[in-house]
Amino acid sequence: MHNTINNADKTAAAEAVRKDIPLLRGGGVHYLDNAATALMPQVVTDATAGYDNNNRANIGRGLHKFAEVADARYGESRRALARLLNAADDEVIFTSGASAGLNLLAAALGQTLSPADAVVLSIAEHHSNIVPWQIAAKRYGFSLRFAAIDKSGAIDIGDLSRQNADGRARVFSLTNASNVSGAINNIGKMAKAARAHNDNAIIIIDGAQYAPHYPAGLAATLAATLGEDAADFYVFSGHKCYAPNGIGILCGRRAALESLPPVIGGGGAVNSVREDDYDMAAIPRRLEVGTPPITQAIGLAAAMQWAVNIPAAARQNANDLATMARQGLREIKGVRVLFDIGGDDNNNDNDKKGEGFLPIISFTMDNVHPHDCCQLLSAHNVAARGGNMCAEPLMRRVSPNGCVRVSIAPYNNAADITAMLDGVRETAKLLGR
Amino acid sequence: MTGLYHGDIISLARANINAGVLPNAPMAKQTNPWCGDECTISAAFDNGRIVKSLHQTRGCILCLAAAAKATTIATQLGDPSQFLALANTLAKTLQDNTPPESLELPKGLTLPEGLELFTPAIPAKNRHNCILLPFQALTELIQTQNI
Repeated sequence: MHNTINNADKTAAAEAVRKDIPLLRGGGVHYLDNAATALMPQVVTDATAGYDNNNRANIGRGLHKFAEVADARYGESRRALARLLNAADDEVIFTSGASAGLNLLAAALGQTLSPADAVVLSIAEHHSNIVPWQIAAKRYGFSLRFAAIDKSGAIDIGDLSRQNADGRARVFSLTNASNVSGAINNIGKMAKAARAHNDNAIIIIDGAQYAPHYPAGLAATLAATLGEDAADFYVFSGHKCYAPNGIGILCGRRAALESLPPVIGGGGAVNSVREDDYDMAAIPRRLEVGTPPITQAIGLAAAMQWAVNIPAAARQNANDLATMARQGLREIKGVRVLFDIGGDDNNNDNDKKGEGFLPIISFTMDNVHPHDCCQLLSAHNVAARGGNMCAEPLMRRVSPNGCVRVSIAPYNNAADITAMLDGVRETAKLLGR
Repeated sequence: MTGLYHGDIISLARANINAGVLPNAPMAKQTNPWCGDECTISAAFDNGRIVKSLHQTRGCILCLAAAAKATTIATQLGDPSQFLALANTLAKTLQDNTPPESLELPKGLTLPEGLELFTPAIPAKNRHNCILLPFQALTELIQTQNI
């Protein structure tokens, strides 16, 4: 699909989004670290402060009227997020983030696996979608396999299928989009490839990077029924979705969630407790232990509502800025853009095709450590990320010394990219040779 | 340009001073998981004194410069306990935002030349570990020697 929105409209749309972000209102801040944490719009801060200042009470436990109001607000938040995900209310589990969700799944599903089984990840996974499986594999004896990526950084679908040629892989846990390359992986294609040799393979999708960019696309991520070529479980983090820290979502169909053996327990997750046994509650409670992150859940619902309403023009602007960044970086001597396959087809139809790239650009500089580049960028008020991106298996293959990453959101503008490029040029002049 | 990257520290980092590995010598390695800096120190001892020290460092300018300085200081001081005292004091002064030239050193220890190069890094707390990594590696090495 060709981009038909003109540049002036895209810029205007981005500026309107930018006005929602208090941290950007003063000017002079070039925040390009959105893949690490996104900035919060005022409406989210208002929602959380509103709850804390006016409705704060514990939920699910109190019989007083304040608790009833808090219960209602918390329930509304879950309902709103469930609608976004095309899920039932009880199919949305609040966690502390994508990492917590993946840890829960690995710990639970790991119990069901034996040394005869395998779990397939990809080489592009974040540590939070590798280490929990490694821990479980050591405990329960199953093997881990890693699907390769292609030169764009996307998971190689052919290799994904080959990883289960013997039919032993029972779980596939894969990223919806890489936090290094930005390459988007089509969930349907991954699920189909994963189940080519095992109809019952469980598909877990890490949506931490994808969710903030295409919140409207989340409705299509989850399988309507078990076995459909979609995700059985989908996780993402609130803080990357313009929401507070400490909140995330694990979403799954009821049958899939109910099949998870218990790995956590305590108040709220049980119906009753005796000295010799316990009776677990139904979902979602059985997977949410203790007093939940009420404030943060309310903030997440407000954030996703805001994100869904970001104009397409602003998202297209973000993709255009990624193109601008990529082209500018290519022109600086000593800079190598990682996973640069040439051209700039950012595919603004990502919602439908589920492919293409997020506006994330990772690069290296000859003779310059990423840490030094980021420090010098900081002198230009540019926030970028340097290091291994919590993706060491991937980085060991493409750049053992790490890289610099800039990640763009709908509230960024051309001045942000210009400042970044100026900073990289200065770094090259000072430290490169 | 940030003062952190002044000419002297860049020159020190690029000079490859004491870069390498001592064959058959005790070694210690420290890594910073946040940024990927790695520093492996090898040192030769004679009668309990450090007589030579080299480093293999993959890291940023600060880490490279600190590795050059740490290995040079270790050999200049010779006395492992003095190096440990200095490394400990350096860590504390970075933490307390005190310039190295204001270091309160243990009795009998004089400030080695060149540590003032790192003074501009003091406000950048997220870079302190880059500077300390080689000192930590040498500290670990000394502590394993039972001297």
